[in-house]
Amino acid sequence: MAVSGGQSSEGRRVVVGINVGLMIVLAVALVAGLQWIGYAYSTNATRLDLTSSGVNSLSDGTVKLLAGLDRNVRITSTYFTTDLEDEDQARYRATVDDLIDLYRVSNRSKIVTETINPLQDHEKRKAMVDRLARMERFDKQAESYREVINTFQDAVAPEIGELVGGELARLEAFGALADTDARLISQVRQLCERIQQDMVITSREITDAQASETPAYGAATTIIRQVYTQVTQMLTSIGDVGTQVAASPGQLSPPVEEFFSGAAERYQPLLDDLKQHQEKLGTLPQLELEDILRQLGPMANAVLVETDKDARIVDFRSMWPASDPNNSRAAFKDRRFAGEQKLTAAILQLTQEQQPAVVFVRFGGTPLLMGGFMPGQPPAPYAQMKGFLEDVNFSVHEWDLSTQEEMPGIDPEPSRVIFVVFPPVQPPPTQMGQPPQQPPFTDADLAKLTSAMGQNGRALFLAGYSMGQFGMAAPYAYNEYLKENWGLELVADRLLLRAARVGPEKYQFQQAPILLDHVEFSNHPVVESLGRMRCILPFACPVTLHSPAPEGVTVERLAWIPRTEGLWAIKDVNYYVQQQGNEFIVRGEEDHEGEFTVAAAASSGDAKIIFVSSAEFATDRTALATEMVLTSRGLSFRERNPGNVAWFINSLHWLNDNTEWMDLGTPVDESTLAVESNSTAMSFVRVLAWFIWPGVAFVSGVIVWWVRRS
Amino acid sequence: MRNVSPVMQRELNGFFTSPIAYVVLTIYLIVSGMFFMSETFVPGGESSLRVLLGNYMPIILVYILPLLTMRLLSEEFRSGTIETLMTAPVSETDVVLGKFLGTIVFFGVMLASTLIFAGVVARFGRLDTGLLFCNYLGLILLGSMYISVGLFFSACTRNQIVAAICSFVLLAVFTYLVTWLARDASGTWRLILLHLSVFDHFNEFARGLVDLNHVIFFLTTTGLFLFLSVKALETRRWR
Repeated sequence: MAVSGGQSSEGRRVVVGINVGLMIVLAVALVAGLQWIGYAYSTNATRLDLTSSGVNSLSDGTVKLLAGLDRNVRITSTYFTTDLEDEDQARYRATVDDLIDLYRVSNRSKIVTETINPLQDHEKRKAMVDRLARMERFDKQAESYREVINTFQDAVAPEIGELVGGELARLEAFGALADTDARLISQVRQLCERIQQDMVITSREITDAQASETPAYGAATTIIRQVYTQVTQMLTSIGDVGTQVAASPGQLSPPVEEFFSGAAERYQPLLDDLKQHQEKLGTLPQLELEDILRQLGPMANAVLVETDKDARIVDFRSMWPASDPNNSRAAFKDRRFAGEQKLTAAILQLTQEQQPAVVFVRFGGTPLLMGGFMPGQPPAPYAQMKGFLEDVNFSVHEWDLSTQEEMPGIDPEPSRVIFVVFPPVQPPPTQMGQPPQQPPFTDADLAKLTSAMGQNGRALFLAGYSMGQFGMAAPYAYNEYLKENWGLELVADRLLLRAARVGPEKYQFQQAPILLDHVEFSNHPVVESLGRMRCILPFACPVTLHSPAPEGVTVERLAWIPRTEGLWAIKDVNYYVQQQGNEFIVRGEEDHEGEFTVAAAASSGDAKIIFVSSAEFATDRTALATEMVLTSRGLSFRERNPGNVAWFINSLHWLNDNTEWMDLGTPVDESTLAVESNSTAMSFVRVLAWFIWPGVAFVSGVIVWWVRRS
Repeated sequence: MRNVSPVMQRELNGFFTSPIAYVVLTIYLIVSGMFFMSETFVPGGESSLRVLLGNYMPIILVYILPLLTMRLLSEEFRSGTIETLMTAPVSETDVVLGKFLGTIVFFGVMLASTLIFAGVVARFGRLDTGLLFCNYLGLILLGSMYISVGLFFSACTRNQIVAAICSFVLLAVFTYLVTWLARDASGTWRLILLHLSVFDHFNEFARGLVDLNHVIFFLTTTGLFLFLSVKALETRRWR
């Protein structure tokens, strides 16, 4: 702003002051604008996660899924905030808020996130509830409930009132009665009056239920169901008396007898109506909205994931599973965070129209997915893994080839069926003359499976070492099929075993020699990311990749055990069992070291299979085993073999042509300090941190002061 | 701009030849060492400096940096050397930038002196160098902002104590009080308060995340206070 020569110094000061003021305002506005741009356009591309574990980033699978969303998704955190909350609640809330913010910036145009404190943000909560109630699926379910309630209020209640009113009028018309008659009539009057009172109370309860913030249609129809039952019972009991009276006439005065003998006929139309309404009540669909709202209680710590048409809840226990499943009151340090896995699973379920199905195929043996309910019954080996698969939007089924001719029907129809094929269980030896408890696996059973797979079948074959009769290795029933069609063969009579060398030609078995953990992986999409996760393979056998492969088949090696001293493919297990008491173990002459392939993938046209030579690598006991470790939060549990879970699920995603969903929510390893509290190292570091290092700075200052002084 | 360098060197000489700076550095190292031993270097503890650098260092800097910056311009005003400085062929911008950069360098030396703790952690655990780099990057940005605030108040008053107190109060409010208020707020107010919360921006660096949004926040806020410092210095001419 120009200053004219004729202005006084005061005037110049004012002008300069205004000038400075304006510049400051402009500067503040510029800063605010730049910061707003930074906030508004913050995306995954403008963020860099520098941690080696990638703990602040979503997995590639989730990022790809979110980037490809074709509909709007809203994620609402309802983790409560209160002045009286403990430290854990703040941590839970902060972690979840950070996670949903990562989702928001992954696709700002399609994903909206919100945080509601249910103890305070009542308007927001009401808006959320109204939004859910208006969703087509929930509205349709509620409509059938509203119909029942309206029918009760508009038709049935007046009908009951009219009938009961009529009966009471008849009863009033009786004058003085003899004792027996009076007693009976009094009982009937009491029943009728009770029905009348109950109808008044019921009407009020139903009105209250509908008028609440979230209309409790479920509660209202429960009340109606109870009323129908009660009224039916009462009227039926009066009618029964009438039947008895009609059977033994002359015991009551004529008017009373006439009253009772006509009761059943008078009540029948209403009783027929009530029966019809009760049948209709039995056909009401589940009212999912009320289940969801119950899970969104004020202190439930739930996350709601919605699209325009549907919603899913991720409850607290799913998002923060306790390391000890029996401890429902576990603290923060005893829980792991499964937020990304659960949120992404919810989004998958909401945005994928059809679900692929995974069918566990066995021949004989115990059920794989359900078990452990009866005393002494072992838990099913894949019961928990089933939950993992359902989380990533697979529907999971089981097929026992020995008892079922065809694959069980799957409703709704899946987008694809993927088979997980287990080795047939060998029938136990029978006594002479006794029929076999279970017929052996035959070509006809194989044909059932291959027929179900069809030409473009997708399957994961799991097979490993299995002890057969007389201590010999059991043959693998699918070997011929795999060799002829896919060029793969399990060397079923060889068990991979590891021993530790303790001297020339002298070995000892370490703990769990049948657990192989030095697995190397190729850069195939299924196993590419497994290198940084711990994987083990129990009871593994080598796999032979026949060359050349059958025509039209492409085979790729997925995983192998590198040549390692002490890692053998052994033929005779008994030879080593007999040596167990010896000081050293000597390798058998027929046994050898080498590099052993343990997994391969093959494709032919649209058909694909994966073969892993360890039948138990994905069981709950192996894949979901936990161990106790010392972390910065104290002792806590962590998964021992997270790579096994990832490998299994990745295999299914690859077979389902969903490579972008691999490694959803990859677990993270935590590194801790290896130092003892009373060690020399601790003492030295303490002295260094408190005295030596600050002392260097202090002495430097003294030197500087001295030099300046002199 | 070439006049910034002499001012910066003059400031650095002032720091490294002043016993007070070493006293501040000693106090800083003692306090950092105490927090390191109590919160980080514990058996089974996380093998990173995230807790020390992410949770406690901002608290330490809120106290320490105002002590460093209080004398930057206030001393010049009090002792009258500002007149000499202003008659030299340097602009107010050169003076502010020179003093700012000189303080930044000394602050960098202070931060570098805590690398010994990183060495200790690396000796006993697996140090995540990416996370460590991100923590220090965040601290440099945070410290730059704090220094610019301190410089501004130092430019506003002749009294060093007043400058230090004003800096401390403003930094404490926007680092902690605003964060606390944001916790109980909701809706748009919560968003605004979270954006004004310095700790909320710094927390991302503590976690190992470099977000352009937060880098912009620190750089623009630092720039704003440096601009205000220049204006404060310029207005002195008109008094």
